[in-house]
Amino acid sequence: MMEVLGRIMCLAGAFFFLAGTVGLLRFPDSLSRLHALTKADNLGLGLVAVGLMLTSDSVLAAAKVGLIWIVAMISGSTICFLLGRSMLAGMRRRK
Amino acid sequence: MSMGLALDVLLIAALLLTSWRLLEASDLFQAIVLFISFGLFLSLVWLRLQAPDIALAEAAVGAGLAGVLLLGTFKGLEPDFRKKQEESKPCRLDRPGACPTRVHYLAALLGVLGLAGILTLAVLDLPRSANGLTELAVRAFEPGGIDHLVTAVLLDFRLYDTWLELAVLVLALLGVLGAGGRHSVRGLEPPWDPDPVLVWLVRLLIPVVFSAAVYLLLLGGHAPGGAFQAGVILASGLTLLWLAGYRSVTVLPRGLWYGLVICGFGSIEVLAIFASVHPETPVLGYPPGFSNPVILALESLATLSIGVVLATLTIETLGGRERTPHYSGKGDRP
Amino acid sequence: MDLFYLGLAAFMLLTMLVGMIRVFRGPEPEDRLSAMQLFGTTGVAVLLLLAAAFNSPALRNTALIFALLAVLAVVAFVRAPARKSDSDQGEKP
Repeated sequence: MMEVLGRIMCLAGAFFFLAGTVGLLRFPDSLSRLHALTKADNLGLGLVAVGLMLTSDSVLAAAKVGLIWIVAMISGSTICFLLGRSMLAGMRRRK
Repeated sequence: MSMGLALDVLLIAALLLTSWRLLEASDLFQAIVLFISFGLFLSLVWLRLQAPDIALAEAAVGAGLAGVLLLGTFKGLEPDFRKKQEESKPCRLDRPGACPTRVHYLAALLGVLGLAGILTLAVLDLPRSANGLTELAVRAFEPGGIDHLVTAVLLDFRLYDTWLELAVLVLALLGVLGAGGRHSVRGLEPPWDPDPVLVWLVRLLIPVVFSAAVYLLLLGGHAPGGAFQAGVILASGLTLLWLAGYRSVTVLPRGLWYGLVICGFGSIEVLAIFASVHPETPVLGYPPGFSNPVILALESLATLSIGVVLATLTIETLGGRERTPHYSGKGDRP
Repeated sequence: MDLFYLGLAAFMLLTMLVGMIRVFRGPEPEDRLSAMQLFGTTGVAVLLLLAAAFNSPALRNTALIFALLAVLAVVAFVRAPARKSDSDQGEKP
Protein backbone atom coordinates (compact mmCIF):
# COMPACT_ATOMS: atom_id res chain seq x y z
CA MET A 1 0.00 0.00 0.00
CA MET A 2 2.74 2.39 1.03
CA GLU A 3 4.70 1.07 -1.89
CA VAL A 4 2.03 2.05 -4.38
CA LEU A 5 1.50 5.46 -2.81
CA GLY A 6 5.23 6.08 -2.80
CA ARG A 7 5.55 5.20 -6.43
CA ILE A 8 2.66 7.43 -7.40
CA MET A 9 4.31 10.33 -5.63
CA CYS A 10 7.60 9.64 -7.40
CA LEU A 11 5.78 9.64 -10.71
CA ALA A 12 4.10 12.92 -9.84
CA GLY A 13 7.45 14.37 -8.89
CA ALA A 14 8.93 13.30 -12.19
CA PHE A 15 6.03 14.98 -13.96
CA PHE A 16 6.85 18.26 -12.21
CA PHE A 17 10.48 17.95 -13.23
CA LEU A 18 9.33 17.56 -16.80
CA ALA A 19 7.02 20.54 -16.41
CA GLY A 20 9.85 22.59 -14.99
CA THR A 21 12.13 21.73 -17.89
CA VAL A 22 9.46 22.48 -20.47
CA GLY A 23 8.80 25.79 -18.76
CA LEU A 24 12.50 26.57 -18.72
CA LEU A 25 12.59 26.07 -22.45
CA ARG A 26 9.33 27.61 -23.53
CA PHE A 27 8.67 30.60 -21.30
CA PRO A 28 9.41 33.88 -23.02
CA ASP A 29 11.23 35.77 -20.33
CA SER A 30 14.12 35.21 -17.92
CA LEU A 31 12.01 35.83 -14.85
CA SER A 32 9.21 33.53 -15.93
CA ARG A 33 11.74 30.82 -16.67
CA LEU A 34 12.93 31.18 -13.10
CA HIS A 35 9.35 30.64 -12.00
CA ALA A 36 9.28 27.35 -13.89
CA LEU A 37 12.51 26.34 -12.23
CA THR A 38 11.10 26.75 -8.75
CA LYS A 39 8.27 24.37 -9.53
CA ALA A 40 10.71 21.63 -10.31
CA ASP A 41 12.85 22.51 -7.32
CA ASN A 42 10.09 22.48 -4.73
CA LEU A 43 7.28 20.29 -5.97
CA GLY A 44 9.32 17.95 -8.10
CA LEU A 45 11.96 17.11 -5.57
CA GLY A 46 9.46 17.26 -2.72
CA LEU A 47 7.15 14.67 -4.21
CA VAL A 48 10.03 12.39 -5.14
CA ALA A 49 11.50 12.73 -1.67
CA VAL A 50 8.22 12.03 0.11
CA GLY A 51 7.58 9.10 -2.20
CA LEU A 52 10.99 7.65 -1.41
CA MET A 53 10.57 8.27 2.30
CA LEU A 54 7.36 6.24 2.22
CA THR A 55 9.00 3.28 0.54
CA SER A 56 12.33 3.23 2.29
CA ASP A 57 13.05 0.32 4.59
CA SER A 58 15.02 2.04 7.31
CA VAL A 59 14.20 5.07 9.39
CA LEU A 60 17.74 6.36 8.99
CA ALA A 61 17.48 6.31 5.21
CA ALA A 62 14.14 8.09 5.30
CA ALA A 63 15.53 10.70 7.66
CA LYS A 64 18.48 11.26 5.36
CA VAL A 65 16.17 11.73 2.38
CA GLY A 66 14.15 14.20 4.42
CA LEU A 67 17.28 16.11 5.34
CA ILE A 68 18.38 16.22 1.72
CA TRP A 69 14.99 17.59 0.74
CA ILE A 70 15.14 20.33 3.35
CA VAL A 71 18.67 21.29 2.37
CA ALA A 72 17.67 21.36 -1.31
CA MET A 73 14.73 23.61 -0.51
CA ILE A 74 16.87 26.03 1.47
CA SER A 75 19.56 26.27 -1.17
CA GLY A 76 17.08 26.23 -4.04
CA SER A 77 15.02 29.09 -2.70
CA THR A 78 18.13 31.14 -1.99
CA ILE A 79 19.52 30.54 -5.46
CA CYS A 80 16.28 31.47 -7.17
CA PHE A 81 16.02 34.64 -5.12
CA LEU A 82 19.60 35.61 -5.91
CA LEU A 83 19.12 34.91 -9.60
CA GLY A 84 15.91 36.93 -9.64
CA ARG A 85 17.59 39.88 -7.95
CA SER A 86 20.47 39.71 -10.39
CA MET A 87 18.07 39.66 -13.32
CA LEU A 88 16.24 42.72 -12.00
CA ALA A 89 19.49 44.56 -11.51
CA GLY A 90 20.46 43.73 -15.08
CA MET A 91 17.13 44.93 -16.43
CA ARG A 92 17.33 48.14 -14.43
CA ARG A 93 20.81 48.82 -15.70
CA ARG A 94 19.81 48.36 -19.28
CA LYS A 95 17.06 50.97 -19.14
CA MET B 1 19.22 -5.04 -17.39
CA SER B 2 18.10 -2.89 -20.24
CA MET B 3 16.99 0.04 -18.14
CA GLY B 4 20.47 0.30 -16.72
CA LEU B 5 21.81 0.29 -20.24
CA ALA B 6 19.40 3.06 -21.19
CA LEU B 7 20.63 5.07 -18.22
CA ASP B 8 24.24 4.56 -19.24
CA VAL B 9 23.57 5.52 -22.84
CA LEU B 10 21.91 8.72 -21.69
CA LEU B 11 24.86 9.51 -19.43
CA ILE B 12 27.31 8.95 -22.25
CA ALA B 13 25.21 11.16 -24.51
CA ALA B 14 25.16 13.84 -21.82
CA LEU B 15 28.94 13.73 -21.42
CA LEU B 16 29.57 13.89 -25.14
CA LEU B 17 27.06 16.67 -25.73
CA THR B 18 28.34 18.75 -22.84
CA SER B 19 31.98 18.41 -23.75
CA TRP B 20 31.38 19.11 -27.42
CA ARG B 21 29.35 22.25 -26.74
CA LEU B 22 31.85 23.26 -24.09
CA LEU B 23 34.64 23.33 -26.61
CA GLU B 24 32.49 25.01 -29.23
CA ALA B 25 30.85 27.50 -26.90
CA SER B 26 30.49 31.00 -28.22
CA ASP B 27 31.51 32.67 -24.99
CA LEU B 28 33.49 31.82 -21.93
CA PHE B 29 30.62 32.04 -19.46
CA GLN B 30 28.68 29.40 -21.35
CA ALA B 31 31.77 27.23 -21.26
CA ILE B 32 32.04 27.64 -17.50
CA VAL B 33 28.41 26.65 -16.93
CA LEU B 34 28.86 23.66 -19.21
CA PHE B 35 32.02 22.69 -17.34
CA ILE B 36 30.16 22.63 -14.03
CA SER B 37 27.37 20.61 -15.62
CA PHE B 38 29.98 18.24 -17.01
CA GLY B 39 31.18 17.70 -13.47
CA LEU B 40 27.66 16.79 -12.39
CA PHE B 41 27.24 14.23 -15.15
CA LEU B 42 30.70 12.86 -14.53
CA SER B 43 29.82 12.28 -10.90
CA LEU B 44 26.85 10.19 -12.01
CA VAL B 45 29.10 8.25 -14.35
CA TRP B 46 31.52 7.44 -11.54
CA LEU B 47 28.63 6.04 -9.57
CA ARG B 48 27.60 3.83 -12.46
CA LEU B 49 31.21 2.63 -12.62
CA GLN B 50 30.98 1.49 -8.97
CA ALA B 51 33.34 4.16 -7.67
CA PRO B 52 31.36 6.07 -5.04
CA ASP B 53 34.45 7.59 -3.44
CA ILE B 54 35.43 9.28 -6.66
CA ALA B 55 31.81 10.28 -7.29
CA LEU B 56 31.72 12.04 -3.92
CA ALA B 57 34.96 13.85 -4.63
CA GLU B 58 33.84 14.83 -8.13
CA ALA B 59 30.51 16.13 -6.83
CA ALA B 60 32.20 18.16 -4.14
CA VAL B 61 34.96 19.62 -6.30
CA GLY B 62 33.29 19.81 -9.71
CA ALA B 63 29.91 21.07 -8.62
CA GLY B 64 31.17 23.20 -5.79
CA LEU B 65 34.65 24.60 -5.58
CA ALA B 66 35.57 24.45 -9.26
CA GLY B 67 32.50 26.54 -10.05
CA VAL B 68 33.47 29.15 -7.48
CA LEU B 69 37.05 29.33 -8.72
CA LEU B 70 36.04 29.64 -12.36
CA LEU B 71 33.30 32.19 -11.80
CA GLY B 72 35.43 34.23 -9.45
CA THR B 73 38.27 34.32 -11.95
CA PHE B 74 35.94 35.05 -14.83
CA LYS B 75 34.39 37.98 -13.04
CA GLY B 76 37.85 39.43 -12.75
CA LEU B 77 38.49 39.02 -16.46
CA GLU B 78 35.17 40.22 -17.70
CA PRO B 79 33.30 42.20 -15.09
CA ASP B 80 30.18 42.61 -17.16
CA PHE B 81 28.72 39.22 -17.91
CA ARG B 82 26.23 40.76 -20.24
CA LYS B 83 28.65 42.17 -22.74
CA LYS B 84 27.78 40.58 -26.04
CA GLN B 85 30.66 39.32 -28.09
CA GLU B 86 31.11 42.17 -30.56
CA GLU B 87 32.99 40.31 -33.20
CA SER B 88 32.34 36.63 -33.57
CA LYS B 89 35.64 35.04 -32.79
CA PRO B 90 36.22 32.08 -35.10
CA CYS B 91 38.13 30.26 -32.41
CA ARG B 92 37.84 30.32 -28.66
CA LEU B 93 41.43 31.39 -28.13
CA ASP B 94 42.19 35.01 -27.48
CA ARG B 95 44.68 35.52 -30.25
CA PRO B 96 43.06 35.03 -33.67
CA GLY B 97 46.33 33.86 -35.18
CA ALA B 98 46.28 30.72 -33.07
CA CYS B 99 43.33 29.05 -34.75
CA PRO B 100 43.97 25.45 -35.76
CA THR B 101 44.42 24.72 -39.45
CA ARG B 102 43.65 21.67 -41.51
CA VAL B 103 47.07 20.20 -40.74
CA HIS B 104 46.35 20.39 -37.03
CA TYR B 105 43.02 18.67 -37.45
CA LEU B 106 44.61 15.92 -39.53
CA ALA B 107 47.36 15.36 -36.97
CA ALA B 108 44.81 15.25 -34.17
CA LEU B 109 42.70 12.74 -36.08
CA LEU B 110 45.69 10.48 -36.68
CA GLY B 111 46.66 10.71 -33.04
CA VAL B 112 43.16 9.84 -31.87
CA LEU B 113 42.89 6.89 -34.24
CA GLY B 114 46.31 5.62 -33.23
CA LEU B 115 45.51 5.83 -29.53
CA ALA B 116 42.14 4.18 -30.01
CA GLY B 117 43.83 1.37 -31.92
CA ILE B 118 46.43 0.81 -29.23
CA LEU B 119 43.80 0.83 -26.47
CA THR B 120 41.61 -1.63 -28.35
CA LEU B 121 44.55 -3.98 -28.82
CA ALA B 122 45.41 -3.70 -25.14
CA VAL B 123 41.86 -4.49 -24.05
CA LEU B 124 41.62 -7.45 -26.42
CA ASP B 125 44.88 -8.71 -24.99
CA LEU B 126 43.59 -8.97 -21.42
CA PRO B 127 42.91 -12.45 -20.01
CA ARG B 128 39.25 -13.27 -20.24
CA SER B 129 38.27 -13.64 -16.60
CA ALA B 130 40.80 -11.78 -14.53
CA ASN B 131 39.94 -10.01 -11.34
CA GLY B 132 42.71 -7.54 -11.81
CA LEU B 133 44.56 -6.79 -8.66
CA THR B 134 41.70 -7.85 -6.39
CA GLU B 135 43.40 -11.07 -5.29
CA LEU B 136 46.61 -9.32 -4.44
CA ALA B 137 44.71 -6.66 -2.53
CA VAL B 138 42.62 -9.13 -0.57
CA ARG B 139 45.65 -11.21 0.30
CA ALA B 140 47.59 -8.26 1.61
CA PHE B 141 44.60 -6.81 3.43
CA GLU B 142 45.75 -6.29 6.98
CA PRO B 143 43.16 -7.81 9.33
CA GLY B 144 41.79 -5.36 11.86
CA GLY B 145 42.61 -2.36 9.73
CA ILE B 146 40.01 -0.60 7.66
CA ASP B 147 36.83 -2.41 6.73
CA HIS B 148 36.08 -0.89 3.37
CA LEU B 149 38.32 -2.32 0.71
CA VAL B 150 38.58 0.77 -1.49
CA THR B 151 39.51 2.94 1.46
CA ALA B 152 41.88 0.24 2.64
CA VAL B 153 43.62 0.26 -0.69
CA LEU B 154 43.67 4.01 -0.67
CA LEU B 155 45.16 4.11 2.80
CA ASP B 156 47.17 0.97 3.29
CA PHE B 157 48.78 0.98 -0.08
CA ARG B 158 48.43 4.54 -1.14
CA LEU B 159 48.78 6.54 2.01
CA TYR B 160 51.79 8.09 0.47
CA ASP B 161 49.68 9.03 -2.51
CA THR B 162 47.51 11.07 -0.15
CA TRP B 163 50.67 12.48 1.36
CA LEU B 164 51.94 13.66 -1.98
CA GLU B 165 48.48 14.99 -2.93
CA LEU B 166 48.68 17.16 0.14
CA ALA B 167 52.09 18.33 -1.00
CA VAL B 168 50.65 19.23 -4.39
CA LEU B 169 47.86 21.19 -2.72
CA VAL B 170 50.31 23.16 -0.62
CA LEU B 171 52.40 23.92 -3.68
CA ALA B 172 49.29 25.09 -5.53
CA LEU B 173 48.49 27.34 -2.59
CA LEU B 174 51.99 28.78 -2.69
CA GLY B 175 51.52 29.48 -6.37
CA VAL B 176 48.21 31.25 -5.90
CA LEU B 177 49.47 33.29 -2.98
CA GLY B 178 52.59 34.20 -4.90
CA ALA B 179 50.51 35.35 -7.86
CA GLY B 180 48.60 37.60 -5.49
CA GLY B 181 51.77 38.86 -3.91
CA ARG B 182 50.88 37.79 -0.41
CA HIS B 183 52.35 35.66 2.34
CA SER B 184 49.05 34.77 3.88
CA VAL B 185 45.45 35.83 3.80
CA ARG B 186 45.39 37.02 7.37
CA GLY B 187 43.57 40.26 7.84
CA LEU B 188 41.64 40.24 4.59
CA GLU B 189 37.95 40.78 4.65
CA PRO B 190 35.29 39.94 2.10
CA PRO B 191 34.97 42.76 -0.44
CA TRP B 192 31.20 42.92 -0.51
CA ASP B 193 28.37 44.43 1.45
CA PRO B 194 26.56 42.28 3.99
CA ASP B 195 23.54 40.49 2.63
CA PRO B 196 20.84 39.27 5.02
CA VAL B 197 19.72 36.52 2.67
CA LEU B 198 23.15 34.95 2.63
CA VAL B 199 23.51 35.33 6.37
CA TRP B 200 20.27 33.40 6.78
CA LEU B 201 21.47 30.76 4.35
CA VAL B 202 24.74 30.37 6.16
CA ARG B 203 23.10 30.07 9.55
CA LEU B 204 21.01 27.20 8.29
CA LEU B 205 23.48 25.39 6.07
CA ILE B 206 26.87 25.73 7.72
CA PRO B 207 26.07 23.39 10.63
CA VAL B 208 24.90 20.82 8.12
CA VAL B 209 27.99 21.31 5.99
CA PHE B 210 30.41 20.88 8.85
CA SER B 211 28.48 17.91 10.23
CA ALA B 212 28.55 16.34 6.79
CA ALA B 213 32.32 16.78 6.68
CA VAL B 214 32.78 15.05 10.02
CA TYR B 215 30.31 12.37 8.99
CA LEU B 216 32.18 11.60 5.79
CA LEU B 217 35.49 11.58 7.63
CA LEU B 218 34.28 9.05 10.17
CA LEU B 219 32.55 7.08 7.46
CA GLY B 220 35.80 6.71 5.56
CA GLY B 221 36.83 3.75 7.66
CA HIS B 222 34.15 1.47 6.35
CA ALA B 223 32.22 3.16 3.56
CA PRO B 224 32.86 5.60 0.73
CA GLY B 225 34.16 8.79 2.16
CA GLY B 226 37.40 9.72 3.79
CA ALA B 227 39.79 12.58 4.22
CA PHE B 228 39.72 14.11 0.77
CA GLN B 229 35.94 14.29 0.46
CA ALA B 230 35.58 15.59 3.99
CA GLY B 231 38.31 18.14 3.36
CA VAL B 232 36.67 19.44 0.21
CA ILE B 233 33.35 19.81 2.01
CA LEU B 234 35.08 21.65 4.81
CA ALA B 235 36.67 23.97 2.28
CA SER B 236 33.30 24.54 0.64
CA GLY B 237 31.80 25.51 3.97
CA LEU B 238 34.63 27.96 4.68
CA THR B 239 34.21 29.44 1.19
CA LEU B 240 30.48 29.81 1.71
CA LEU B 241 31.16 31.69 4.92
CA TRP B 242 33.46 34.03 3.01
CA LEU B 243 30.89 34.56 0.27
CA ALA B 244 28.32 35.45 2.89
CA GLY B 245 30.61 38.07 4.35
CA TYR B 246 32.26 36.29 7.27
CA ARG B 247 36.03 36.32 7.52
CA SER B 248 36.32 32.56 7.70
CA VAL B 249 39.94 31.57 7.13
CA THR B 250 41.41 35.05 7.31
CA VAL B 251 40.56 35.38 10.97
CA LEU B 252 43.06 32.70 11.95
CA PRO B 253 46.27 33.90 13.53
CA ARG B 254 49.19 33.31 11.24
CA GLY B 255 50.83 30.58 13.32
CA LEU B 256 47.63 28.57 13.54
CA TRP B 257 47.02 28.95 9.83
CA TYR B 258 50.53 27.75 8.98
CA GLY B 259 50.03 24.85 11.33
CA LEU B 260 46.76 23.80 9.77
CA VAL B 261 48.17 24.05 6.26
CA ILE B 262 51.15 21.89 7.11
CA CYS B 263 49.70 19.42 9.63
CA GLY B 264 48.30 17.00 7.07
CA PHE B 265 51.50 16.67 5.13
CA GLY B 266 53.67 16.91 8.20
CA SER B 267 51.91 14.22 10.20
CA ILE B 268 52.23 11.66 7.43
CA GLU B 269 55.86 12.66 7.07
CA VAL B 270 56.33 11.92 10.76
CA LEU B 271 54.67 8.56 10.26
CA ALA B 272 56.92 7.78 7.32
CA ILE B 273 60.03 8.59 9.26
CA PHE B 274 58.78 6.60 12.23
CA ALA B 275 57.98 3.63 10.02
CA SER B 276 61.42 3.59 8.53
CA VAL B 277 63.32 3.73 11.82
CA HIS B 278 61.07 1.73 14.13
CA PRO B 279 62.12 -1.92 13.95
CA GLU B 280 58.67 -3.51 14.18
CA THR B 281 56.87 -1.26 11.74
CA PRO B 282 56.99 -2.22 8.08
CA VAL B 283 58.25 0.44 5.73
CA LEU B 284 55.31 2.48 4.45
CA GLY B 285 53.13 0.83 7.09
CA TYR B 286 51.63 1.52 10.49
CA PRO B 287 52.82 0.66 14.00
CA PRO B 288 51.41 -2.79 14.64
CA GLY B 289 48.32 -2.75 16.79
CA PHE B 290 47.87 0.98 16.47
CA SER B 291 46.73 1.18 12.89
CA ASN B 292 43.15 2.28 13.53
CA PRO B 293 43.82 5.24 15.83
CA VAL B 294 46.77 6.31 13.73
CA ILE B 295 44.70 6.18 10.56
CA LEU B 296 41.88 8.18 12.13
CA ALA B 297 44.27 10.77 13.49
CA LEU B 298 46.08 11.14 10.18
CA GLU B 299 42.83 11.36 8.25
CA SER B 300 41.52 14.05 10.58
CA LEU B 301 44.65 16.13 10.19
CA ALA B 302 44.59 15.61 6.44
CA THR B 303 40.97 16.76 6.36
CA LEU B 304 41.80 19.93 8.25
CA SER B 305 44.73 20.61 5.98
CA ILE B 306 42.81 20.03 2.78
CA GLY B 307 39.97 22.21 4.02
CA VAL B 308 42.15 25.14 5.04
CA VAL B 309 44.39 24.96 1.97
CA LEU B 310 41.53 24.81 -0.52
CA ALA B 311 39.57 27.51 1.28
CA THR B 312 42.58 29.83 1.35
CA LEU B 313 43.24 29.17 -2.32
CA THR B 314 39.64 29.96 -3.23
CA ILE B 315 39.46 33.06 -1.06
CA GLU B 316 42.67 34.38 -2.56
CA THR B 317 41.25 33.79 -6.04
CA LEU B 318 37.98 35.53 -5.19
CA GLY B 319 39.90 38.47 -3.84
CA GLY B 320 39.56 40.33 -0.61
CA ARG B 321 40.30 43.78 0.63
CA GLU B 322 42.62 44.84 3.37
CA ARG B 323 40.97 45.42 6.67
CA THR B 324 40.17 49.06 7.03
CA PRO B 325 40.60 50.41 10.53
CA HIS B 326 37.26 51.04 12.08
CA TYR B 327 36.69 54.42 13.60
CA SER B 328 34.63 54.42 16.74
CA GLY B 329 31.84 56.91 17.31
CA LYS B 330 31.40 60.10 15.36
CA GLY B 331 34.46 62.20 14.78
CA ASP B 332 37.74 61.50 13.18
CA ARG B 333 39.87 60.02 15.85
CA PRO B 334 40.90 56.40 15.12
CA MET C 1 10.77 -2.06 -8.04
CA ASP C 2 14.29 -1.77 -9.25
CA LEU C 3 13.13 -1.20 -12.75
CA PHE C 4 10.67 1.47 -11.74
CA TYR C 5 13.25 3.64 -10.01
CA LEU C 6 15.83 3.07 -12.69
CA GLY C 7 13.29 4.00 -15.33
CA LEU C 8 12.36 7.20 -13.53
CA ALA C 9 16.02 8.07 -13.13
CA ALA C 10 16.59 7.55 -16.85
CA PHE C 11 13.56 9.74 -17.57
CA MET C 12 14.92 12.55 -15.41
CA LEU C 13 18.28 12.27 -17.09
CA LEU C 14 16.46 12.76 -20.35
CA THR C 15 14.87 15.95 -19.04
CA MET C 16 18.32 17.15 -18.04
CA LEU C 17 19.55 16.55 -21.56
CA VAL C 18 16.64 18.48 -22.98
CA GLY C 19 17.22 21.24 -20.46
CA MET C 20 20.71 21.74 -21.84
CA ILE C 21 19.15 23.65 -24.69
CA ARG C 22 18.60 26.51 -22.31
CA VAL C 23 22.32 26.53 -21.48
CA PHE C 24 23.10 26.85 -25.17
CA ARG C 25 20.46 29.45 -25.94
CA GLY C 26 19.50 31.45 -22.86
CA PRO C 27 20.47 34.97 -23.73
CA GLU C 28 21.10 36.11 -20.19
CA PRO C 29 23.78 34.51 -18.02
CA GLU C 30 21.11 34.00 -15.37
CA ASP C 31 19.23 31.77 -17.81
CA ARG C 32 22.23 29.52 -18.14
CA LEU C 33 22.60 29.45 -14.38
CA SER C 34 18.92 28.59 -13.97
CA ALA C 35 19.44 25.61 -16.23
CA MET C 36 22.49 24.61 -14.23
CA GLN C 37 20.50 24.87 -11.02
CA LEU C 38 17.84 22.64 -12.56
CA PHE C 39 20.53 20.10 -13.38
CA GLY C 40 21.64 20.18 -9.79
CA THR C 41 18.19 19.52 -8.38
CA THR C 42 17.39 16.92 -11.00
CA GLY C 43 20.73 15.32 -10.22
CA VAL C 44 19.76 15.08 -6.56
CA ALA C 45 16.50 13.42 -7.58
CA VAL C 46 18.31 11.00 -9.89
CA LEU C 47 20.74 10.10 -7.14
CA LEU C 48 17.94 9.52 -4.64
CA LEU C 49 16.12 7.30 -7.10
CA LEU C 50 19.27 5.33 -7.86
CA ALA C 51 19.91 5.01 -4.14
CA ALA C 52 16.47 3.47 -3.76
CA ALA C 53 17.01 1.22 -6.78
CA PHE C 54 20.34 -0.15 -5.53
CA ASN C 55 19.71 0.36 -1.82
CA SER C 56 22.99 2.17 -1.39
CA PRO C 57 23.62 4.73 1.35
CA ALA C 58 26.68 5.96 -0.51
CA LEU C 59 24.43 7.28 -3.25
CA ARG C 60 22.35 9.11 -0.69
CA ASN C 61 25.49 10.70 0.72
CA THR C 62 26.41 11.88 -2.75
CA ALA C 63 22.91 13.36 -3.09
CA LEU C 64 23.48 15.24 0.17
CA ILE C 65 26.72 16.67 -1.14
CA PHE C 66 25.07 17.74 -4.41
CA ALA C 67 22.27 19.47 -2.51
CA LEU C 68 24.64 21.22 -0.10
CA LEU C 69 27.16 22.49 -2.59
CA ALA C 70 24.77 23.55 -5.35
CA VAL C 71 24.55 26.97 -3.76
CA LEU C 72 28.19 27.79 -4.18
CA ALA C 73 28.42 28.52 -7.89
CA VAL C 74 25.44 30.87 -8.02
CA VAL C 75 26.49 32.73 -4.89
CA ALA C 76 29.95 33.18 -6.40
CA PHE C 77 28.38 34.57 -9.57
CA VAL C 78 26.27 37.04 -7.66
CA ARG C 79 28.96 38.12 -5.27
CA ALA C 80 32.20 38.20 -7.17
CA PRO C 81 33.24 41.84 -7.15
CA ALA C 82 33.96 43.67 -10.37
CA ARG C 83 37.60 44.62 -10.58
CA LYS C 84 36.74 47.88 -12.33
CA SER C 85 35.15 49.41 -9.29
CA ASP C 86 33.91 52.57 -10.98
CA SER C 87 31.43 51.14 -13.48
CA ASP C 88 28.73 49.40 -11.44
CA GLN C 89 28.95 50.83 -8.00
CA GLY C 90 26.93 49.43 -5.18
CA GLU C 91 24.03 47.91 -7.01
CA LYS C 92 24.84 44.23 -6.99
CA PRO C 93 26.13 43.17 -3.59
